[in-house]
Amino acid sequence: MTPHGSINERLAGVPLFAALDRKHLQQLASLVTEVDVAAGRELIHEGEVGHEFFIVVDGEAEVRIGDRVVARRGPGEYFGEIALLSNRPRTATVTALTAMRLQVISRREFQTMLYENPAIATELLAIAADRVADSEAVH
Amino acid sequence: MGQTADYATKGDPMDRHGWIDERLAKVPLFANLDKKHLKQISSLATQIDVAAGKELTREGAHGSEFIIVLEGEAEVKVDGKVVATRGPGEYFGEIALIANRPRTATVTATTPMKVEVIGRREFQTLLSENPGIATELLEATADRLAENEET
Repeated sequence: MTPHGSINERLAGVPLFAALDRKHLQQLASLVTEVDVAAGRELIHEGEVGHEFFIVVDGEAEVRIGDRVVARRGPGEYFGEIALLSNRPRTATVTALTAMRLQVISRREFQTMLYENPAIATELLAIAADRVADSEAVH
Repeated sequence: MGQTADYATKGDPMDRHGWIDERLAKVPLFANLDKKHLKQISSLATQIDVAAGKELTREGAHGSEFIIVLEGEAEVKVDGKVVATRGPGEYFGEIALIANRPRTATVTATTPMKVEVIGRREFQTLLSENPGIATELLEATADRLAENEET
């Protein structure tokens, strides 16, 4: 699994970064590490301290809270931001369902990314607010 | 506090541009703003007095305002159950505006209150011109989400 092109090109295809120009994509690329993981690998574990933000380049992961699968994450999607933003433990366990390529941004670089790209903070805010509305909706 | 003192600090009461609402400046959400942006927020917000028992937002209804508490206290109910209270320096109403969804809770004044109200369009202006506020709200929202999703 070797995706074509550079990290910048792959970042440019992520909807979260749609508003960024070339210069900011270039900066962002310098904060990112790409890793390949095998199917079955646990990427984050509910209840643990979280240090990374993940963007999916290739493959698919499942998101579990307790024993319940609550979501999946595929190419162009991301996870891991809540623990970094809230300074709380991971809210879910995320496991690779297939072989995956991921872009990993660690805590400090994540802060730098938000500080230098307010558009990303605004986008993450819109999505977090939507999730709060979901979690508080009367069932 | 008499009228004279008010005028001395606020200038012409019909023109909220150009002066800083000192009580808004003390709200933690705005702690990192410079004078220019504090003036801007002072001009975007409308201060109103609310009687005890007044419903400020209703769960499921369309929401058009962001509300900051200056004085008094409100209770936050989801499905009839009190889940939180809001007092001086705290705020509510942002989720419906940011997510473009119905109100997630009913908020009712439990005492007489003084609140600052910011409408939807002004709220968007506030966020787009003050990235620090967006970041602050993002952290608070993430925290609330983490709490809601705790098992």
